[in-house]
Amino acid sequence: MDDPADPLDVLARRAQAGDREAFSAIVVQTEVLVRRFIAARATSLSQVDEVLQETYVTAWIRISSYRLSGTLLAWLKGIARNLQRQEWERCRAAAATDPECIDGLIAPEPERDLDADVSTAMRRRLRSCLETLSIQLRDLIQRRYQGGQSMTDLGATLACPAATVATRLFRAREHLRACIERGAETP
Amino acid sequence: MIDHRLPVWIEAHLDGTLAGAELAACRTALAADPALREGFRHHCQMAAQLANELGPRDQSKSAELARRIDGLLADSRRVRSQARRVLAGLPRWPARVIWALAALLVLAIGLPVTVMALRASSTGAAIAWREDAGGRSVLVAGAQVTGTVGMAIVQADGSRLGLGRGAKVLVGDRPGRYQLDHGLIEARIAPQSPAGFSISTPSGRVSVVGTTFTLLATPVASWLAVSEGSVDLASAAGTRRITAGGRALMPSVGAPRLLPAVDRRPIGSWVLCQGSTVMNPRGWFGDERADYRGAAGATRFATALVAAADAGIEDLRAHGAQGVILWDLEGNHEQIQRYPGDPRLIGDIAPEMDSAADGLFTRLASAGFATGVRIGVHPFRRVGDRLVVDPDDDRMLDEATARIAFARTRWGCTLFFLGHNLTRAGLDQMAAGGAIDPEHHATPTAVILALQARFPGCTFIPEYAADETWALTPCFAMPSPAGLARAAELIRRWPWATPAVFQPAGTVPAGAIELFAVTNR
Repeated sequence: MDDPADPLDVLARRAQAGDREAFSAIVVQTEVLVRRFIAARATSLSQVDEVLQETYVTAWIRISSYRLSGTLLAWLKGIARNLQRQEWERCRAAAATDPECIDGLIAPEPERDLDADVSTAMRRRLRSCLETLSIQLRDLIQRRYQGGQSMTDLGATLACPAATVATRLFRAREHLRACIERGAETP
Repeated sequence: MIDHRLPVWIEAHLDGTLAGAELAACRTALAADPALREGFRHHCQMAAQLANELGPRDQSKSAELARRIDGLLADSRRVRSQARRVLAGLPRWPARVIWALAALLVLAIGLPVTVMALRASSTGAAIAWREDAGGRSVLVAGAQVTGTVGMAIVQADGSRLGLGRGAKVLVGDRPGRYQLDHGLIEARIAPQSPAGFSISTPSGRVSVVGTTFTLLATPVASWLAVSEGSVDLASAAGTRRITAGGRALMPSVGAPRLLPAVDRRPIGSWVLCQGSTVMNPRGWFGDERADYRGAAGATRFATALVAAADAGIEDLRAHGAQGVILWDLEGNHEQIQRYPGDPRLIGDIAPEMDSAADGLFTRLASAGFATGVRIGVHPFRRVGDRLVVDPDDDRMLDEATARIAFARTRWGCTLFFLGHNLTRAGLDQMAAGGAIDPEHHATPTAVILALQARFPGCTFIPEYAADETWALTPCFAMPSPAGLARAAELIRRWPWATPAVFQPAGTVPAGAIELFAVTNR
């Protein structure tokens, strides 16, 4: 059999033959894009890592069913999308009985939000919208999402109540959302 | 209209700390309002996107994920069933024969360590060795080890598990596979593949790449602190990677979560009452001349409380405090029970405080301070008009939970001093005037972990603590040479251990939380 033209398919074929090293290379080469796909619709921060890991474990188990057609990335995103959908369905079902479950209440309806990907233009827009935030809010966003600080830690660092931190982050995200939507409407 | 609590709910949800009454209120609001749900979801999605866009990203992160996945795949034949099987009880060992053969092969090629095994073992293949003052002995698959002082499990690759006293470990079917039923281990693991080393606990599985960490398992939760490298926690509800410097809790129910860094800023201890007089029967502010009886007295008390709170806030600011713990909200009750430590009682036994308390806590919180109360952990029984402490070790957790939940829900308290937190036997020792042995008689670590699991974001400071408890939570240290020496020794063992200590300002040991007296004026 000829080598596939797509470099990812070359790795996929080796993975189909049981080569875990090749599969690891697939993970390294696709992780950023699959993660971004998952993050675009995740309803909690931990969900991204959980779905990402499960996506690749599932992909390994099912790798023999992948047709070498240059569509490995789309195939992986399809797995991620299904896993995310299953997670929401599980959460939705659990929401009625599990008093700890919030994700079930806020999970999007099955037909919504599932096929949208984050375009490069949208990401660029997000970056430029970040520049329109005040210095204080931008600093807060960076501490929260770049530094990974919790609400409580931020309150302690900035010497203000955690509720104030939460309100400022809320305002910052509202601003970003409005800014992105304005940009999306711009031709 | 958007609920004003929404921002806090969203951040707490994202941090995994939304719990208790706030969680219930959030769920109710979300269930009733589609617009609120929509807003909540959009903010969470935006947060996930921002974390993905802004979070640290380099090739090493992809490689790290690849290694983790590879580890899972290496174990794929067993990855799904193993955790469930181990958690369900004694594992079956489907690969036991294969591993036994592999170990025999290693023996055959004559590695020094296996020669030691041949000398020491008469049955089975060596998985590891038990090492203590008496020397080394071989451990085979299925062996059970109970920790004693100085005991460790060592592997041929140099990995070492130091066992705390009473820790129960079951040796798995090959090196790097253990089950910790309960107790503490201090591990230094040699670098290896992600699938190379894992420890099952009642709450889930701990997978190790090559690292140094402390792990404590109880039936209700496992607790982990990573000193070097990184460790993956996996429970039925989710996974989380903990890197050096991180501490995490893996409850039996719910996903593993990262614990926030210990806030070492001072905490004010505000003693609200002392003694008792006819005119001031609950001893408010220790004021022997005040008359707080009747309706007029209650009004005077409320006025005095506001003035004291404002003075207290000045003290807290002057000390750069994180918050204040109130000793004792229910007042002193010489005739009923001295310093009961149960805020639920204020409606019955301190009505003047019951009507003023909400305003007091709001005042303190509005000034930017965390608030808390001292609580006891044992139930009362009524004997005539008196409340008598009725020590019951089995009810300690439920009793503490009820008292904390009350203060958490009504006033948003997050700081809790667990006073007189001894077992029944410990309280008997205290009553007899003998020396108290906290190693045996302080609140068990399982209770502390259960409280941490039930009340995320709260700090618990036990008055009495076994050594192992010091790894989990700030512990009260007696400001005596012996008390401070013990604290110093435990900090050497666990650098994150945090004594909470009453000391004149400026003489608190480095890294301790100073508990300073808020002045009653």
